[in-house]
Amino acid sequence: MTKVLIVDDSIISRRMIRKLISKHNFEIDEATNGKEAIDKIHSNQYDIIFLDLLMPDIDGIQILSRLKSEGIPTKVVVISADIQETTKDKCKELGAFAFVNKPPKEEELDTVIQKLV
Amino acid sequence: MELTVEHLDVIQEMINIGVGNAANLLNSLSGKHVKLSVPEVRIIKLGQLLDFFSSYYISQNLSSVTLTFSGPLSGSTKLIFSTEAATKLVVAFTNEDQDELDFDEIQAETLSEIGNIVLNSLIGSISNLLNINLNYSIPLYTTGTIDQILSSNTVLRENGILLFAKTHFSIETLEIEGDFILFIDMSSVPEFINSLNHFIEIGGFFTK
Repeated sequence: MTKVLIVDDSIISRRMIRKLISKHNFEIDEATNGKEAIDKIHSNQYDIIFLDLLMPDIDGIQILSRLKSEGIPTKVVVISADIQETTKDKCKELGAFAFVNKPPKEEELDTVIQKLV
Repeated sequence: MELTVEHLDVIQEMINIGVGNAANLLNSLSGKHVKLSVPEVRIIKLGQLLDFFSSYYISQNLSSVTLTFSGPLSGSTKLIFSTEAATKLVVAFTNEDQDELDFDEIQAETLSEIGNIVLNSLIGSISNLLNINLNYSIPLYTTGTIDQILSSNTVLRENGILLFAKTHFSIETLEIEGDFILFIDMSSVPEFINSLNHFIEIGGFFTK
């Protein structure tokens, strides 16, 4: 089964992403901040990470940098309110598979998931 | 009716989205990346707000653009810079020399227009997410200390309670820093909570 990690400091966003991807029959785990995300990534093998960028302390860009520098091949879908092209470019450089604007449209997320699985 | 932790979480995410849209416009206008901080959201009394701001903006001369809104929610949103940062921003946008005779006028007009665009985007994103219609004022450009800037704000009433959110940003390479500030008058809180509850019931942020 595809193993997925949702990383977002917002309760409502985690809940809604979980709801939205539940139809894909994933095994879903959550992290509420950057540190928890890194700990979970080190102790589990996820196939997909849905990653928020704007988080206190360790943010999404830092997590992407860690994944890249440690050679962790998990596919990352960034879901962020910071929709600047420069931010998207930075995520791409750091190896993000896709960038979805918050609030994401269901169809858009489905399309990304289809490409991933 | 009181705001719950879940309501505050939703508000913070809405502000993230609104500020993200506003920063995207600021990026388009300046051609530079805008680095955002996580918004700080509080329920606060006016007295506490003045104490908070006085310690945050210590003895600074500030430039501010305010957009006031009313309707199911009433409040205001502000873009605040130090005077030096505001001048740098205007020079970067207009290529005008700050020694020009009418630079103060150019600065007021430029910042009012920048504020108008980005603040409309910020509050417009929130009203769209809540599916409510808000009426906006024309942008008000103010300079002075934080007390002077806040005293020009009609939303801030003595003994009033506010929902207050602040997001710090910096425009990279131009070395310009500022804040997006949002105040919501808590006298409109029942309507606001109804809108938030409806928003959560219909499935939150995610639309087909």
